[in-house]
Amino acid sequence: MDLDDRELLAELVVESQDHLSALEPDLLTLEKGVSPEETLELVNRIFRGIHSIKGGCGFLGITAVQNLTHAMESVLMKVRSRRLDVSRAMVDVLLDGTDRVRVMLADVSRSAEIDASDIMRRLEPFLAAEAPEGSGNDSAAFSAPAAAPANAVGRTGYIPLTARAAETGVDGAAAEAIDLAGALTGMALGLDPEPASLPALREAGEVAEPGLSVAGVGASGSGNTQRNSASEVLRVKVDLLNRLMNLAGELVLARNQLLQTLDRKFNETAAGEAIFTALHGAVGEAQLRLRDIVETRNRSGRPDDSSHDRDDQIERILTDLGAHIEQALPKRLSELPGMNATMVNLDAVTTNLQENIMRTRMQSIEALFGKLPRQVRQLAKQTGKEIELVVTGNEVELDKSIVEALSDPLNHLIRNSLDHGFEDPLARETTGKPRTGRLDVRAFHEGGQVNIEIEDDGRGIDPRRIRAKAVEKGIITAEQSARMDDREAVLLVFAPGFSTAEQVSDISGRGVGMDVVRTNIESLGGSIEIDSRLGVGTRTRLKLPLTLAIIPSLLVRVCGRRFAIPQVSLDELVRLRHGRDDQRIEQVQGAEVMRLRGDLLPLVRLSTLLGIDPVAGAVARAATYVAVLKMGAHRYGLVVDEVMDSEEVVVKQLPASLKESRCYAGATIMGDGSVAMILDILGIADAAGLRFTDLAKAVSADEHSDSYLDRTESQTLLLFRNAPGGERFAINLSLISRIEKVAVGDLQRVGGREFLKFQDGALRLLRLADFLPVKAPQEEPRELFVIIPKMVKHPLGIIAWECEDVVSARIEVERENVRGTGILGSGMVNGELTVFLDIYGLFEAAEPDIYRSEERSTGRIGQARILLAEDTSFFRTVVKKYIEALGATVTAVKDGREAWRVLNEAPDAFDLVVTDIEMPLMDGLELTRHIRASARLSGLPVVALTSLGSDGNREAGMAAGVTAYETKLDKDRLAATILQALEEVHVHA
Amino acid sequence: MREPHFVSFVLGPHLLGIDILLVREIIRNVDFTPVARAPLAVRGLLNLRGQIITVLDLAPSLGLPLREMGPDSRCLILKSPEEVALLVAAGLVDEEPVGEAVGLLVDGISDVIRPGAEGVGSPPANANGIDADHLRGVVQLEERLLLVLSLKRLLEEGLGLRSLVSRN
Repeated sequence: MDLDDRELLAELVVESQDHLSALEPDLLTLEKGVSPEETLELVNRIFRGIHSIKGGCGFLGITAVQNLTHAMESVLMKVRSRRLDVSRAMVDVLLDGTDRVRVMLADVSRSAEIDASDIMRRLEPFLAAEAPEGSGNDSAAFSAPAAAPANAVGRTGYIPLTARAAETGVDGAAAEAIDLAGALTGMALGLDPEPASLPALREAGEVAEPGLSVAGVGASGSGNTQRNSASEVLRVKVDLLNRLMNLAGELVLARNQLLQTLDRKFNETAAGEAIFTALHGAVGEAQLRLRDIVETRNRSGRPDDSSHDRDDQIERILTDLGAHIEQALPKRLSELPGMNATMVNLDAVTTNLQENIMRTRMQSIEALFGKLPRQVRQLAKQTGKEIELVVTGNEVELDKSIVEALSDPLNHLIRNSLDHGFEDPLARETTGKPRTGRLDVRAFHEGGQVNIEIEDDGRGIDPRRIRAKAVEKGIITAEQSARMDDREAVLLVFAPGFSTAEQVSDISGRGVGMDVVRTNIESLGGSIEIDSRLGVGTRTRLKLPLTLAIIPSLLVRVCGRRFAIPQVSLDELVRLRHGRDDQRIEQVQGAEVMRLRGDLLPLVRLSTLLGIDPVAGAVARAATYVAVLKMGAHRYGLVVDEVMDSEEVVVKQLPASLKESRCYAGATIMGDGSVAMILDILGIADAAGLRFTDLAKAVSADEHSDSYLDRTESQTLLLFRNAPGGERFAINLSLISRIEKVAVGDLQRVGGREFLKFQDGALRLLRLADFLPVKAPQEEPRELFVIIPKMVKHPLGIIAWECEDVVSARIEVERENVRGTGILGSGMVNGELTVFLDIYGLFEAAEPDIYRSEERSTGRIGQARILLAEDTSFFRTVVKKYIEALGATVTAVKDGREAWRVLNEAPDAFDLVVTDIEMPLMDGLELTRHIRASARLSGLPVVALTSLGSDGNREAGMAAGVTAYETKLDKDRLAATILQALEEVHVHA
Repeated sequence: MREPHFVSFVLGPHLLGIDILLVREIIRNVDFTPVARAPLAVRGLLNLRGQIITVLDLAPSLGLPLREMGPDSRCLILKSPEEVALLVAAGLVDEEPVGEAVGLLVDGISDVIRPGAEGVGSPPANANGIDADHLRGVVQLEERLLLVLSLKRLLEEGLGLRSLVSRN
């Protein structure tokens, strides 16, 4: 086979595969049963696809494919001519046929070795079903009229296309015209003078079935459309795109370097300018002095001519010198004509170019979703379930590599749904659901990411079964299981070694668990969430980045070397001060571990692992940092010397010689031109020989579950900044009433305070930099944001320079690193250290008079001992802070059961209980009922807290014996309620 | 047949040469980033106008100790495997292309040498302690001997794509 043929062949294979993918969904739709018109249209389309494959393969002499597709086509032809009805069995065999064709095309040179006789045999009954005149072989299915045009072709070398267009489907004619044109061109070029093209042309004749007509536009019009769409799409080698992508990345780099150089140059110029200005000034000064001297001398004595001349000479020299200096004065870069505009333009073009090249690597998710109907159909058949698949968002695009890597995880999730998610049709009917289950698969954009959701209306995940299974498998202890709430239990499906299938089934039980799915998704820089309601259904959501070519990362330094940690793997940063935090690091089974909120985290010292020594003469640092990294369900800490910036880095492929080390995922080039390595989080754990399972067992159940509970709570946060490039702040969204965008001119300054005017008065504003040690904006933008909190008696607006985002995340607020009035703590949000504000603390700092006077009025609270039960650590912290600010002593516990235990241990230690309603293990109502039923505790006032003061809740609370009800976030009312509750007790007592 | 020209360079006590067609450029900037856990001969990575180049030190393969860099140190950037493949296809060189973009760290650059009438002699079994496998031939110069390197094995060994031990 010569080169041209090889290229043709490659082209043909790709094209044929496209045809196969396109006709598969049509076959599935056909099976469902549609109107006769639609059936005809579908059959026509399927026919055309198969026909094109047959034509091409025939042309290149791939007879195995040609024969099989010919038989398939013949069956379809009978359907077209209404001599045969569509049946499930027929679609089955046609689908199997397309599968076989696929196999053959996968290795065309050996296609002849693949046996298709079984499919041919299964096709036979359809061919024979109602054979018209003269049966006996395949071609018997074709009627006599076929012969005439074929003969005509044979003689003249062209085909009466117009005549056929009238007879057959118009689209069909157009498509075939193209096929034929190809065949004819082939003939004309003398590539294949006889054998293949003749049958191909004879085929054309066969198409000319009588009695088939589709109303529509003229053949030429529709033919043009097809040609156009074909000419606007070009196949480009992925390799070439990758190179373009690399080049664009380099261009971005070059631009950054250019900007840096210019910046440096500019500074140099500015420095040079200063020197020249000083020189210039000195010369001017000298001239003045000279004149002084001359004048003084002229007045005091008689100047002779010679000294006159000398004076003139010096004067001239100085003047010349001044002129020279002026000329030599360096030009400012910004004065270069057009410089700024050029830089801005370069910047824009580069960014644009990079984005567009990146887009060429994008592939629509249809490549994956297109396979789903088939897969679901097959699985439904296998499991005896009835499923309706609804796919949306086919047009959503992702980087090709991500689309490819998604295939397995998506498959697994679909299988899971079919196997475990949906009930049998009968079981569904008995529970009042429709027989047919509905499986929704959606793709959509959200916040710069692609979301993929798989939602079924099946039985949902049973937390009890998950718990039992996890205990049985030794993943958690019975005690831990008892302390987990349902949501947490469901998350156990991600635990390594967990598989819920009671019997390992053919479909999902392949030894691959959800932990592998999760690891796969995370290695793509994505995340996975499960939301399940028992009896209602399960929704799994994947969040994925659009591309892998540029990744946000955190730069760290170890022994003077820089490394990039992909942000997606970064959970949080912990600062360890030497001397003070040493006790947090311990030895367990000969390995270093760090205690992090009761959890034991295995540590890897990057310097030790990489065998790099501290730079000679390096100053001993006051602290080191531990980057807490996550991989699937596991976490470990990477010890580094320094934490630098967060940066988006362009990923360069790792040279083959460095793959062995396992520690690197790639390399990148920094703004200063040096190379930094991107760390491979999984590889490092592997290279360091971390054993997570052993460690988990070494940790006592108590400590483990404690952190487990703490880690999984989710909160919605508003993220904002106070100054460009300044710290990032977070406020829990439930504390915010609204956010106003205001022009700076609308702010009014009265007596050193700033106010925002409203219709009904003025809102006092506060700037964070006035109360916290944070960066203040250097210049005022024209527009600002004012964050207005809710549920406070004396609201103040917080001025923000920029509102960045609203995120929902599970965040552990670290109270050690950042401390101060007005600050709750700090935590990692999307990989960036973020300061959590305590707005009440802030307000007190801003309006000390108002708040202090109120405290005085709250009287008795000052001596009260209060037990607080609240499962969410955020609210636990906030509410504890409120009450403590009133002077009370607060003991905080994290659920009703613990509260009950504490109360029983020391029944007289508390004056009042403040409890959340919704809590795991024992909720607030149950706790209250226990208290009321207890002889020793029944008189204890209980204030119930709720985040939404819903009335249904309130009634249930009152029924349980709650003394008072209050919302969590209204500090003043909470104080009043507590006081009232305490007083009531005294009245009764 | 083309008469090859060799770029000659110094490495330890040796004057070594490689076909000039295999060299893309020679750079003075040997400011590379060391990479830990890399093969011994891989000294680090270098940014050449946005492309990542593996900086290779041939010393271990030639039985020489690793050295500090001096003021004359240079990096000889070799052509990419694709470029070499094109040269091979055109019949201009007969070196097989190897793995990745590589720069050779050398102690100093000397002249471009045209072997002249005598041409390239076949290598002795053991030239100055260098394995015959690593040599294509020798050129007798007026004062010293130019050892023309055979790159494929040297690069493969250096990059850790072929183990040093399993050479025999």
